Amino acid sequence: MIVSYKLLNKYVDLKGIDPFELGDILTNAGLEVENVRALAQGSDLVIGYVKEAYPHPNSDKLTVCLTDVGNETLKICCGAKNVGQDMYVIVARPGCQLDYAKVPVIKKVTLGGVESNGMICSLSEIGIPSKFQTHEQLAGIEVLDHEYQLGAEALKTLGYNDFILDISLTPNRSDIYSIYALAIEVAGLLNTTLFDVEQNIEQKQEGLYHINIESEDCLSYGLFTFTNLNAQEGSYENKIMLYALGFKPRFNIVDDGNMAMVISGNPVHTFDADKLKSKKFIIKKGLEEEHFLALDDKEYQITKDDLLIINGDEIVAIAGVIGSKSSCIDENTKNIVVESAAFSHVSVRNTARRLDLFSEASVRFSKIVNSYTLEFPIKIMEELLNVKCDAINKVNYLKYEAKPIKLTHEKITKVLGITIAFEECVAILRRLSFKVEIEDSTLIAYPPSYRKDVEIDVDLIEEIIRVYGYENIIASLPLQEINDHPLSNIQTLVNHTKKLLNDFGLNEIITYQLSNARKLDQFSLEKNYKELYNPLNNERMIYRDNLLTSLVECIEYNKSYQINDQQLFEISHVFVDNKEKTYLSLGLIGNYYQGNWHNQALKADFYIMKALIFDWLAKLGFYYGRVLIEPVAKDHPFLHPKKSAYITMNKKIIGVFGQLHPRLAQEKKLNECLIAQIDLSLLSTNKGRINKYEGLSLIPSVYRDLSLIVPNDIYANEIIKVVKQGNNKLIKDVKIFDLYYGQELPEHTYSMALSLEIGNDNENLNELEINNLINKVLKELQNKLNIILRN
Amino acid sequence: MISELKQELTNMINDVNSLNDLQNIKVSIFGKKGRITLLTKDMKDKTIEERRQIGQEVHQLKEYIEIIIKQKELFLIEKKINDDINNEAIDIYLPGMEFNSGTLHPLTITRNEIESFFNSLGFAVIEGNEIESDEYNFEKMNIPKDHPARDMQDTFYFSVEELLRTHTSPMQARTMEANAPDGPIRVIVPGKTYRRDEDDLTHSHQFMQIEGLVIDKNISLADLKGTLELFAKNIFGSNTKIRFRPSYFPFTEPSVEVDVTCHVCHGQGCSVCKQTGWIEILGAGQVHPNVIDNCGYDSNVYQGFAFGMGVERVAMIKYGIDDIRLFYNNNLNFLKQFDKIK
Ligand SMILES: [Zn+2]
Repeated sequence: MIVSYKLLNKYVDLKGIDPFELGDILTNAGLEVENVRALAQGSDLVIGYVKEAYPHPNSDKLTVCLTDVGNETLKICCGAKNVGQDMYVIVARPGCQLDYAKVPVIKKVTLGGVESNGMICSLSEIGIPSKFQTHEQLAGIEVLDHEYQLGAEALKTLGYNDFILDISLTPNRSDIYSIYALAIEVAGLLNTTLFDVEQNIEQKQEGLYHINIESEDCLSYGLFTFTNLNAQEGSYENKIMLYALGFKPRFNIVDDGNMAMVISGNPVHTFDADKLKSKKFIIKKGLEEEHFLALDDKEYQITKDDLLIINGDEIVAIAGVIGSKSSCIDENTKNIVVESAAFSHVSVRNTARRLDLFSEASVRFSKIVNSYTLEFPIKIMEELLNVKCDAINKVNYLKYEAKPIKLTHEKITKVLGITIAFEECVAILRRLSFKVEIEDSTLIAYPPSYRKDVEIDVDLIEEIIRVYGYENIIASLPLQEINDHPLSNIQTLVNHTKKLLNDFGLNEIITYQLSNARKLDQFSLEKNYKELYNPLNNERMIYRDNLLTSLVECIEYNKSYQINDQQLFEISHVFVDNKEKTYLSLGLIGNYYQGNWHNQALKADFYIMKALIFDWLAKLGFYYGRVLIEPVAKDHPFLHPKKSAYITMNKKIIGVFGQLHPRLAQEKKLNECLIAQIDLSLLSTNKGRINKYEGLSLIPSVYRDLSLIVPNDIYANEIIKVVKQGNNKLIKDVKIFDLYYGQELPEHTYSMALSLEIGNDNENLNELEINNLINKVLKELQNKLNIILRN
Repeated sequence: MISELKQELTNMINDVNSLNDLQNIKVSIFGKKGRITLLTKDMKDKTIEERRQIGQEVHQLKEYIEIIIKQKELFLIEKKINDDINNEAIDIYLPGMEFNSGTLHPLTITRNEIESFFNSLGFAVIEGNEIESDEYNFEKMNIPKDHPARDMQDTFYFSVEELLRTHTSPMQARTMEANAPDGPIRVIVPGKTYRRDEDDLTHSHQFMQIEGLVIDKNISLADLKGTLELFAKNIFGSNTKIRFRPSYFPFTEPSVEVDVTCHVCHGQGCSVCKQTGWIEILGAGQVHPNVIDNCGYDSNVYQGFAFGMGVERVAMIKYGIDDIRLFYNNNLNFLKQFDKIK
């Protein structure tokens, strides 16, 4: 909302408060002023008169102007084409500061051998945006329309000494789209005088028109007839006010309609009465397939949701949005019919949005306009046009009856937590134009018609505190009984997981939840997608069902920055099996440990990923045995078929991990990239085992190494199982410390070296017992797995 | 003769330079054929008196030599340690082994800090689903259909009834319903939220919010101010001040925007705070009676406050980050800059 300080001052006594201070006051009261700026820029500009103008002796482009500025005559070389003798102009003398001019500080110069003592200004040079100017104004200097006192301060004399406040309004305060409503607010905030204005017009004769409202979306409708008008340019002062309010001046009927809208907040639409073919107006919803040629020369397609103003059988306006070409006013218009109406803001908003037609009028109609002040803009037009309205047709014009709102002093104190004197509360509301009645310590407030946002008691409390000042609230802390509310299983699991993976050297990433099918397809198991129906773009259409897509994308992204060693994880929601679940993803590429002069690098591979996963699980109390590694039952298109595995628990798959499929690896140039995805929601349905003290054996273990020759089709888990079976009390641990593949071994075999930790917690074992145990183990290995001792 | 030997042996021991040589000398003196051992070998033709005389002298010599050998030995051990130390000198400027130290995402670090502050005030941490119903995201939060705040421009919908939550507030409604009609509430709700915005320097279609809610019979705006004052001091430093500016949210009344004093200029005005000395940090207010009634409490008896803040915004202010998209690019060189900061 653009506000002219000068215009506001016509309706409320601003007591000389400067515009910047006013901006701060409004901001502190909830009307956020984003910007305060002078309408025009320029120090020491004066009114001058070009007494004599003659061509520059050495330049075709310049004119030498002898310019009277009151106390002296300045010789100025001016480059504008439109400059000439006997003109009143705006003069910048040497030393003058002009921020918008090409050379911001004006100096005495010599141009082509002729001295030039200043500059004659164009509107652009004093900061008026070009969009408000005519072609003539843009092409040359500003030529003033009549005589002024020479040497007078130009900006003040002409009326450019205004300030523009740009207010960003919250949706509840759409009343402020009226300068008058803002004046009410300011009067309350400054505790100053609001200048009362008549908002209604005298009862006039019934107009010639017949109005028929056939849609609920038209709440009130009125037509006001003005006759025998002269379409003409507005006064210089009016034009300046329009610049300040953000309008391009045209001619009086249009300009005054705009002014009336800005002041009252009620948009009006003006028809040329002589172009209306019928006296019959119907307001109703449109039909599909209808077309409409609007006053902007564009053709619009109507739908059944659009509210239309129909004259005879012709559409003359889309209600609140735009009028027709055929009925619009022009410079020859003599007689007009002005519409002042209230429409459903939802209907106007939807139509304006669909047609992308946001004007000052449709923006106001898209909020709730004050339907009790429909005559106010007409009253203003009467004054500005200096013509009385002849006749009126109006339907459903309602008289405002304020609804009472009760508020007790006790409630004010309870909500705010501080005590404000009751009289002060009452006074604040009255300053804001509320009518207030008092019964003991209860007040009954009647809001002014503009304040549709004030409906219940707490709304009144907000009015009181924002004027009283939030800075006056004395802080306290909430006192209440608090129940213990422990974290849920999944929250605890997520927190622990982040901490543990962090300790393992992994870096947390957070990626977008929205993706698209093309990307998700590569890593999705079900491809049963949760799709948006109003996505913003093709990249983000689906709420993801896996974390691997973004993980691999993130690895690729970092690779492109030459970050070759990456250890990543993410914990996030995904949508799978028709519900939101929490997943964990892990990604490794390059070195897991950096190497340097001191130690070799440790390259990430399947076994590092495996260790990460099972160490993490063990630390959570999910020891190996409760969670298992199992071969994948089916090939996953994104995993290396021979280097991938499931993580299972209670026979359910809780995750999958392995090396990125060589086909994808080639496509994405990610060699030996390890990925994992684990269902934390499923994992969190199980409780991790809590450690108990197991006793401490003081008898040292003994260690024996075995080097075995193993058939190729025997896997490590089978060997360990056999070693431990039956001897599990004495064999405390089995470590595989070496694998060897060599020509000298028998065909289809490899060699595995085991280290057995042997011990009995109660007594020392003697050599014989140990040897017997080893022999037993070897015999079982041979019998069950065909494994023999090497050498 | 013994005194000559004493002098000779003393010189010998003095001249020794290594423990090894000293050991050899020891053998040559005390061994089976050692010089001192030999002194008492040919005593057959000596008188008892002479034997005693010699025995005594030899004994004294032996003791004397043993002492100086011991001293020499200690000296040589000390010398060897010092020599070894000098030979073992290393370059302390060579880099040590490089451990992998993982990092948490800056949004997680910020979220954890905020959570642990509110935890210390007794707030429970609850989380909810990101895919929400229109009813909980809007209707129950006093944002009826056609309200400008639920503009189609701002919300991602899956269907007419299902959407991506635009704030964490649906959990306000769910928490209240779970505790209605008379349970006291003190919770924060962190989580991902979504707006149908183009991504740019300051906007992200996905962002993280932390919502707070306190409900009881006498929870006032003054309590909100006190809580947020402590919060600001805890997160932005003990000199931080806050201010309330009136604002509008459909689900609170009165509603306020909360600013904190600029951490760069401490309120003097600078480019970070656009010369105002203040930085907007969150929105808050007293829960609207309609919301309280919608969720099963009686607004004539129960009241309270709610607040909501963007975690990205807090992190951007704390760390001086100027582009919100950096959080979601996940460049490791970016992510690794935050693990050293508390
Ligand atoms: Zn600052």
